[in-house]
Amino acid sequence: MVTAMGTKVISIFDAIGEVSYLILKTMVALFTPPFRFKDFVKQLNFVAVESAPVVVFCVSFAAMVTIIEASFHMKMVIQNDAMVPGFSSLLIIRELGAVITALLVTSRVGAGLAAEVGTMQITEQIDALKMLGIEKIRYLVVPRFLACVIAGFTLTIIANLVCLYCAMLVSQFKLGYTFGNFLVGMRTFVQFQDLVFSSIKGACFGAVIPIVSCYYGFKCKAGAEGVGLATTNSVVTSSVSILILDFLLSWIFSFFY
Amino acid sequence: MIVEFKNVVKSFGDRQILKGISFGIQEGEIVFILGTSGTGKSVTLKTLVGLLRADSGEVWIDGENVTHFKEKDYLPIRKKCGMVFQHPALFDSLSVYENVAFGLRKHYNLSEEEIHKRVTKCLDLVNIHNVEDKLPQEISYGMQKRVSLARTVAVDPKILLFDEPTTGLDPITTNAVNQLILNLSHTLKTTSLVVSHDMHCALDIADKIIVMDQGEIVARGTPEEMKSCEHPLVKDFLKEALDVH
Repeated sequence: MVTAMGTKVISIFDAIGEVSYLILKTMVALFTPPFRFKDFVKQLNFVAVESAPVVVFCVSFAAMVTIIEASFHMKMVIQNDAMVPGFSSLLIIRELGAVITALLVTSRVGAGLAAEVGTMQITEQIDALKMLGIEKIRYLVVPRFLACVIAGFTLTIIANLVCLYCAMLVSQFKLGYTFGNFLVGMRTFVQFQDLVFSSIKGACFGAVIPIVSCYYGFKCKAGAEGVGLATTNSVVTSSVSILILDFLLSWIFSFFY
Repeated sequence: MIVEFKNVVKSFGDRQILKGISFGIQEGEIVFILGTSGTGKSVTLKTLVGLLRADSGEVWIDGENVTHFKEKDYLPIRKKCGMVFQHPALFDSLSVYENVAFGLRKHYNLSEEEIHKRVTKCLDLVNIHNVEDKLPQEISYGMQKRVSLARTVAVDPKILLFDEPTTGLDPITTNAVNQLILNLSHTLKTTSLVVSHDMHCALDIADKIIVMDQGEIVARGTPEEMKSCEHPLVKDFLKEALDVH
């Protein structure tokens, strides 16, 4: 049992070392030529543009649920939901927009990425790249990394705006607060730095997705089961990492208030 | 010797795949490595070009000891070596034409016209026509393997490594591939190291045959010497080759 635990601990440290190495190599390749602009644009289209409809659709419902639930609980506890527009908009901007967007992008893009890189790994395409003198990290990871960071940043801003708009609609038609009341409430609670921190969170979450997905893709074992496992591990690890990173960033940002 | 393995050992976890193998290949030779599945043939090829690293022993290519090369040091070595993988290993997002042109664009400063000429010539060599604009997944497996061969040959490697190049191919294409290996060796003095199960092909075109079993070399020699070899595995391979053909 002690041996098994030791092996597990060693494998965890191995994985941390490998992910750190992947991050380091990605950072070096990100700032040194040759740059793969065409691949980056293609990935940006896939990650940002093609993810936008599903992100907009899902976050709008999440925002509506948030404001309805907030109103329900405030009425129950303090018999008054006057602060709901302010609280909801603060919650939306500081957490909901960035986190839900990141989790949606993880399930859509991260799973696809791990499957794509994993398939390349087991069908020897990555070995073929090496034989042709192409660095796998520069060719596969860097364009996806950059695309996911920019997509995380922009999709979070879009998600925040859509969430606020949907919350305003619910506030107007269900709770009886006009758009004006909502904006005044929001102005009281929300500061400009909340918007900035939210976008930074989005970019950081975006960075997690390609690193984790490519890591599991590169480690993919042969066969359909191997690709399936790489995909599952990638989505689970990315989601958990995003939530832990969310806590760490929220804690760090709390020093700026 | 253009390629030399000296007592190379390679393990995956507790399992030793190569148990101290040694062999050498002269320039222009065609050497076949035969053996049953899982005996370390593909591992030998990959260890040669640094896709896998030897645990101990030495690997020499073209007079250089590459055993402890860093990844970036392998670039000029890999330019000298072309490898046809067990899978076609074509890049899914690129057309057949772009797959073959990929290495040319990377390593040579050629005009589009020169690239076109070279790609067309290489596709002709493997008898591939009218599918240049198709994606790999839109053509048959056999065609994918031939395109993979064309991509490897396109960059004019000095040493060609084949990992089961004819597996999954029809007999006519198999003969064409074997003929191509022979032609490249005769006309361009290309050295070929072929991993295969096919003793019949080996007897036809190899200068030297190496037989591996469970990570060890159990027999080696010219095709004529192999025909009189008494090792049971070699005899099995010979029997199968004679039964089939």
